[in-house]
Amino acid sequence: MRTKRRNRVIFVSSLIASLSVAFTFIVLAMNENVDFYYTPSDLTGSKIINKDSLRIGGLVQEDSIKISNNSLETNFLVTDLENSIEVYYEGILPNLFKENSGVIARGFYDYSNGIFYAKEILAKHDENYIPKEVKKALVNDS
Amino acid sequence: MKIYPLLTILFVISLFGLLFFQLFLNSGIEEFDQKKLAPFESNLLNGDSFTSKELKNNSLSLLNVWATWCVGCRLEHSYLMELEKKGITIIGINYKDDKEKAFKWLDQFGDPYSENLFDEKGEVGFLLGVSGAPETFLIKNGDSVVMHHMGVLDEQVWNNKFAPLIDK
Amino acid sequence: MIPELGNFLLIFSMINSLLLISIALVFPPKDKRFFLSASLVTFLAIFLSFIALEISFLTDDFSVLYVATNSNPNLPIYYKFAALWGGHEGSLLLFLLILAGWILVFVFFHRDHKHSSAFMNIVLFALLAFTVFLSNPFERLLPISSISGSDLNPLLQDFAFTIHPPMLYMGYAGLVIPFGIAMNFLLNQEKVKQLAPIRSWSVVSWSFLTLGISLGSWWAYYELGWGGWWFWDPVENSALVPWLLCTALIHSSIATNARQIFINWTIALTILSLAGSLLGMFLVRSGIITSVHSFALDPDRGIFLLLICFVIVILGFSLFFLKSDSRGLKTDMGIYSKEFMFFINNAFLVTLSAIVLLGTIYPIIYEIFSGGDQITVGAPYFNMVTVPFALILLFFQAIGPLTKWGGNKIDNLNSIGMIILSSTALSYLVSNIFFSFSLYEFVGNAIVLMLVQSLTLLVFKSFNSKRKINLSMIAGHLGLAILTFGITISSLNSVEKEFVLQKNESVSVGSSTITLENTQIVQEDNYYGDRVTFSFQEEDRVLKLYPERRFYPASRMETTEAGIYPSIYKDVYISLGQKIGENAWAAKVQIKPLVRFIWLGAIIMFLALFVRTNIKFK
Repeated sequence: MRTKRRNRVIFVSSLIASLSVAFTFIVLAMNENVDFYYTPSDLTGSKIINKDSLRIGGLVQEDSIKISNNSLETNFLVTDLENSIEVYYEGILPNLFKENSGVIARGFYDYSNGIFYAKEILAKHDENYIPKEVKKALVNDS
Repeated sequence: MKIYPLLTILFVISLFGLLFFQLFLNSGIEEFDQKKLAPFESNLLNGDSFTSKELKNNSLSLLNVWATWCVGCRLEHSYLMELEKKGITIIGINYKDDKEKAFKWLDQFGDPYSENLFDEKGEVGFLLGVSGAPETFLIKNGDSVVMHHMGVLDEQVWNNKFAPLIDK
Repeated sequence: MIPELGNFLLIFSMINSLLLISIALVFPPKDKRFFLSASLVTFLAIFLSFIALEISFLTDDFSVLYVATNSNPNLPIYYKFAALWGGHEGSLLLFLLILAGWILVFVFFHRDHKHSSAFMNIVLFALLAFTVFLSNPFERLLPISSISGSDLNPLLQDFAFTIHPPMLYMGYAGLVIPFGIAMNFLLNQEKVKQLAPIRSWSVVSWSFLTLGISLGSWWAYYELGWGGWWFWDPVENSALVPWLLCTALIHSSIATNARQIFINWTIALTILSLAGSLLGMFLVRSGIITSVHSFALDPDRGIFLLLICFVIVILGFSLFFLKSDSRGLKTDMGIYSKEFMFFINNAFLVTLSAIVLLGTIYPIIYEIFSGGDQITVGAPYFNMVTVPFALILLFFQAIGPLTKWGGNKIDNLNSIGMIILSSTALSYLVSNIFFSFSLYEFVGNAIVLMLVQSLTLLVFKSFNSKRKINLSMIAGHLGLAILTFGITISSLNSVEKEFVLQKNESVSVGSSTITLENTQIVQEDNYYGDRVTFSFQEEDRVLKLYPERRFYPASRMETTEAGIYPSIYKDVYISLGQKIGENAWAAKVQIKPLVRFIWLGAIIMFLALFVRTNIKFK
């Protein structure tokens, strides 16, 4: 009887301990790896957004893509048709990336020079699909 | 031991409650629920210009997003012709398309549109929240969107989704 | 005419299924053949309805809306056949066919179950009603017009992708069977023996889920052109959650069968894993989350699907709390017993599935509570949180099979100690000699070595003592060990480089050299695009790779075709980026050692289904 009770105590306390460890772990990981989503108007607005990692979405502005001819550097403007933001990206562009197409860039925004440094570019086929975030931004605007 | 059922039910209800809530939020966006129409300006296929203010001339109009590359548009075209015969004003938005191909299409299959916007770059579509073609908006009094249908518009969709809103 | 017939048969099967439920619950028939014949009729009706839709596809009947939007007369006949499950409505019909098939097989083998098939039919009926009223694949296009049909998304015109959904559905639908068995057990207060078939059925479901998930991952690897095999995409996650729960269910039901313990827990798991699979279906089909794989749908349908899921979970748990007693609620197991190992296994697997589910729906929760702010949960979250848990779980996977039921001292202490010692030592050497040493490399390899040694020991012992050995378990565990090895090595030792090359220019990656040899335009029936020839030189071996970028005019889709040189030791993988000039391209090369082990492991896990022997622990 005694060992039974002792076992149960060990059992429950180890369960609680491991659950709380797991929980803190998850919350920490979550806080570090969540990207917030903004529109170009949010970033050019008066409210300063200080985040190490965020996502912006909109359309790739016409005639704004500048591809370097000997490196992987690309500059372009992302617009929500009200405001636009310059994005700098070094790397391979996805094949659906083109002018007047929906795009999402993940990276950070440098307020000192107004450039968004992208670490990752996601482009989607916009005939059948506009990223939900982009669509929502537009619906809220209109 | 009574606590476990309570906790489980609470958990299940809160999880599903959240998902239901999100779905209702989403459906609000799909159907706009009397959203104001975003004002837009664009050229027509024939070269004239068009602003959304001109929609005010009709108490009721359809905005139909179409393109020659879109198969769904071909599917609904004959029904649009029928609607036009019934006297419904349909404004076309020729979306990310080629002018020549668009004229050829209208010659070949008929032209149900009273006006036809040429939205070459998809800017009007972007403002309206269009995600593809075909899509159809029902506009009341030229400024409020009462229905935003994504996909093919046929008799069934019309009777189920559009007609009830028109009778009101 | 044929589509109308198909629709009629679908409605007929729905009514039939409803009849079976009501007769079974209100006037339980004495003659057990009733369930067999009723299930047979339902299955045949759905099967014929499936054939009817197949006929519409094969004869290009574009008056059917679903055919018109998912097929095209120029499609090769095989893809016409498979286009049936390329969209939401048709894939639902395939799911129903598989579910009805599983129920029929179950009823055939287990005629002594009073109400199991009735509970399974509740799920079947709900989904049939959903198909008939809200997702009918036989809907005609009104007024009928003659057109040429749409096109299957070119990304999906691919063999792996056409067999991936059926395999996955075999797994999802299979989870309905344990649920039915458990509900019957609760309702009729049966003997624990009645729960025994849960084990075999969860293995069936698990094997097909494994195969389905790995086919999807293989497809993503070579078709999406990014060289990744797992993206923590919501759709992938919604298949992983039922897989994890099903793995837990297998182990829990083994303990239930062998020791009559964890009975309530096994029952709860049958409810949870079915809920996981239905919730996954909802997430993919409701448009609540966006992803490459998901079907775009209007929310009305999503609400109905969520409602089905909700009703079934509530039904399951109400019956559970009303009818279950505390039989088997024995917690007096020793820490060194096999029982405790199964407890650890289940605790970790359920935690893992909760972590994955939380990460998947967290953006939804956040959006609601923050008043509309949008966030995404990145892959780093999932990697960071799941990997440590998975490693601990794998450690216990190596020890668990060596313990004994009811053991209260460490059995096999010497062998376990030897295994741990030799594995860590060997892993330390291997990691240092063959790879650049890192903690994950060391731990990963050590655990793989432990798993292999422990399995070898088991096989060896059973030869010596002429005891029966459970080959199914060996295959499942060995497959997972190989998969873990593939993941560890390929994700820690991959080399990748992005570069820009002119024609005849070279770049060096590690010890090898890549040269852009040629660029050309390709023109085929249904697409055109660029093809670039790269040569990959390593020591005195030269490989040629031909990545492409294609444009499909019919559906206005652009795709990237990666150039892959596959081998068992390593894959060389080149994907094209932007065209920089007349003869210059940006591209990305990845050298992935042992990446094929991931799918090799998955295939061995799938084979666990076919090497079943009677389990005899004694």
